[in-house]
Amino acid sequence: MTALRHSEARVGWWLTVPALAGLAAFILLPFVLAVMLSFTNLRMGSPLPVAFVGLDNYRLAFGEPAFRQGLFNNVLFALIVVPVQTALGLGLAVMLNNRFHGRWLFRTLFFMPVVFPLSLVAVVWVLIFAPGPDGVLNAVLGALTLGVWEPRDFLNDPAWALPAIMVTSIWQGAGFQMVILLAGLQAIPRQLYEAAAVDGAGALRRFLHVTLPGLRNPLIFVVIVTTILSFRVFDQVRIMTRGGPQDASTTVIHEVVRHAFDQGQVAPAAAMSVVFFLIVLAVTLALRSLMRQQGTVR
Amino acid sequence: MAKVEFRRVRKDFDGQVVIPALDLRVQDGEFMVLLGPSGCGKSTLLRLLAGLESVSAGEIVIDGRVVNDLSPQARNVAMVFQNYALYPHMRVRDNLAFPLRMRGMKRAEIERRVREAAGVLGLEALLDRRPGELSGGQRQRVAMGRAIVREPAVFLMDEPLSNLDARLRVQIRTEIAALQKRLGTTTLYVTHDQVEAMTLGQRVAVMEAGRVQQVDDPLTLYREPANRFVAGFLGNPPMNIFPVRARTRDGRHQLQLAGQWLDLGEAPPGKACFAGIRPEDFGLPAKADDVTLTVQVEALESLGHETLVYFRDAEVPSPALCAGRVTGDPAGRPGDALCLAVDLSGVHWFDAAGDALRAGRSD
Amino acid sequence: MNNMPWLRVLMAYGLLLACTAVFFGPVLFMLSGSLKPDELVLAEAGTWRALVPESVSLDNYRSVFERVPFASYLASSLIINGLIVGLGLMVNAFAGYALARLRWWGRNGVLVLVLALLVIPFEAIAVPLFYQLSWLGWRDDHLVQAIPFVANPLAIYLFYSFFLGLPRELEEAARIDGAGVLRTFFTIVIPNSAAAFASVAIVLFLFHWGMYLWPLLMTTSESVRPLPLGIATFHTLPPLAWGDILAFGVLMVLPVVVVFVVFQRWFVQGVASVGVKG
Ligand SMILES: Nc1ncnc2c1ncn2[C@@H]1O[C@H](COP(=O)(O)OP(=O)(O)OP(=O)(O)O)[C@@H](O)[C@H]1O
Ligand SMILES: [Mg+2]
Repeated sequence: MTALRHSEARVGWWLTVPALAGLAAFILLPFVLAVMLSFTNLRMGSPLPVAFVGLDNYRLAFGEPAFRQGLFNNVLFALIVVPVQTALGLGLAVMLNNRFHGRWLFRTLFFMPVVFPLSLVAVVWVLIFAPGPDGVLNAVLGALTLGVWEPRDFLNDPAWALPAIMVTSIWQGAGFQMVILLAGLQAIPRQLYEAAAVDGAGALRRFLHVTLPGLRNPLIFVVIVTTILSFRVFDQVRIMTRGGPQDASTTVIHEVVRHAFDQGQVAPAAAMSVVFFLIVLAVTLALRSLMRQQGTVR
Repeated sequence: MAKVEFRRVRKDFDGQVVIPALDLRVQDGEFMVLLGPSGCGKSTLLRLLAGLESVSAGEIVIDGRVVNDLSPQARNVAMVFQNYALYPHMRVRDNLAFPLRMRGMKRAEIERRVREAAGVLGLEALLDRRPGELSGGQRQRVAMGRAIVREPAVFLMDEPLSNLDARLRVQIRTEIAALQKRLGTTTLYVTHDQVEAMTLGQRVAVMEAGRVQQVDDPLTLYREPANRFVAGFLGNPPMNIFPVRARTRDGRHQLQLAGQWLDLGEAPPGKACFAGIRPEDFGLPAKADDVTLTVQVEALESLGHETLVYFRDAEVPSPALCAGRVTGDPAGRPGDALCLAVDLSGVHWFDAAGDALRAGRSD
Repeated sequence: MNNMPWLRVLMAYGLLLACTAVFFGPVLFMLSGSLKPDELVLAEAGTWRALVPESVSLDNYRSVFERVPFASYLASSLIINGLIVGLGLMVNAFAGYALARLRWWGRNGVLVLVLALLVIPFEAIAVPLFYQLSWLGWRDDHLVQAIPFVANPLAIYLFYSFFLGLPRELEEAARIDGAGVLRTFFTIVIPNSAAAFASVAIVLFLFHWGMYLWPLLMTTSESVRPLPLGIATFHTLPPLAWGDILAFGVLMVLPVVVVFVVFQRWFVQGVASVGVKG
């Protein structure tokens, strides 16, 4: 390397050092720590010396019904929220991809929940899910079903607590999908639609053969992001149900926090974090490879 | 006031050799054009000289000083980019002043130089506009202005005219030539347009695949191409190349073309493997002693004052399309037989490797 | 929707309005609830009065300031987010630029590291990070809520891909014109990257304005707690006054909505560019 490149290399390093230090100290190191802790017996306030305990914490975590319930809830959450939210976002995007007056306004309205802090969203929806016939949702459902609907206490009903949180999340997140898919729709060349129309394709065929293939990458992207977010659900659970009733609405992260801070069980919490990371990693890699494979078509 | 020299310069990108070993000297004040097909390494060569890429081996010398290790700003060269690279957020005035500011010049001096450059290029009225508010031709002039305002040792121009329409290209081409002559600054000018090369260059370096094939003044290049590549690259349509089948019959040297034996003035050089005939050497038979060739017309393109006749020499394996350029308007349609006159006094001979041989010299 | 028969236009607008009701209804509910007496929030929740209050008063807003240190929460949120956005823009833009444009030993390694860290969710490391920082005795101030979020892999990646897409010739022209690497970055690159800076700023701001878990772990003093903790505290503070809580919510979300509406274009650009490219 010549002297010329040396100076560029020096500048390059110095520009990167602050970010690199931050990433190392606040992401990489704690992550390594989490992995290490998960193999020890560290407990808050425990007099025992810290020792290596192998896979005990993982066994403990998986042996715990609440954690298993949390895992199950997360998977269920992803399986329902991801398709529903994506379909909703796609519907909104397709609707807004037409030219009409006030399009900007509607886009803003639909997107607005995305910028709401989750803690606020949770509080507002606690009110909407309020029990008794005077609760917003109970009243609306009562009106829509002409009085057939039995008012219930959504957040304290084991059958309804998790679905209520799902609804809240979908409401908050659909606008995000919409914006990205709308940008994707607008990137599809007009000529493709015209060519398909000339070839005699109807609206449905145009959607299936032009719109969907054209949206492949944005679609996979929003699916990845929503899936990961589905596994990260915490704020709503903490504020709306505290994981209850009887762990019916708990999630992995909620269990991590509960173990680490409410019960001082740091090591099992670390093990749960590692499991959580592995899930997120697997989902991301799987969806990414899907994207790569099919991305070659275009 | 600068000579530029490339000494055994090599450049590879991640192990991929783009320029194997290049030697080239540019004289002080010379206008040197680099001509070659796309991807042959012309831009890379300019960028090496500018310091935007570092050489893998060899030396680049400006005015006797090896500049390999100097940063772009220390080399005192100015470059005009194909897309002009004007700073979009600065007014024309600040675009012109930028290189002077970077050199820490005094404000009054900057002001003076900017005004002078703007005057030379007719930019006075545009000084307060931003690049986005200029036409393509005006942007081109601003880019030129930013180069000359510094009075650099060397001008580098990488296809500066290729974003302009044909008419403007001709106009600015002549302006560049005049400007360079006036300033006398050593210039390297990259193009793949041979008309630009022929009209602008005092000398033209023809490149292919990272190698300089020939460096000469434009006429020599055209008349005495050093090899098949140069012969085929210059001229429009390019020179027709045929495999040589020659014989001597009754003391006359003959060459076979399209199945017919044509008389040559003198014997082809001993090692001749290929014969090259320019399209201009064809014509319509006028005199009785013209050497004539009857061809099967494949296509005719009439340009008004002249006509291009396309045919193939069906006798050779996988025959290439050949062209003849004749004045006037020969009657005929594709498929017809047409009788063309051929001037064989200007045949170019090439050996098996493609290097040019001089007629009559049977070395 | 130009040449549609009127029935379809009607249906389309009906659908739009239904969606608006779903997405904007809760927002309107919050707004109107914040303007009426506490006891009416739930009492009227089942009627159309839930959305349109009978009489409007700002009492709830007044009591937000009286009952909790709202100004302190707001100040903390502004300080924390100001630090994250301000420092984050600088630090991440530097790194993004070095990765996109400069040649230095280890660059590819760092790039891979950034992409890998993109996958680690904050929740997975919150616990060890908490212990790591507590062990240093660093907790319960504004900085500890901001500094860990300054270096952000997503922001680095956004800058990186933006700078890759800038025409290289601009910087090369500047180098030839005599500017050094840093000078080129500051005088040529930054002025032409407003879109990237704006969208990263907005993304960082939105992501962290609602941050809840980390302040919950790291703070105990009300004086350094940000708005999201404030609203959660308020939620559990007797007497439960819904009007006050909703007024708190409106005040909390107002800055974000303003930022979003004003900078909508950049935000959408920033988010969408990642999404469309993948
Ligand atoms: N940064 C780079 N990395 C890898 N390969 C490169 C790089 N820059 C150029 N090349 C390769 O070097 C060769 C020469 O490129 P160069 O740009 O010099 O061609 P050129 O003669 O200017 O062509 P054109 O007329 O199309 O501009 C090409 O094969 C190109 O792919
Ligand atoms: Mg080039």
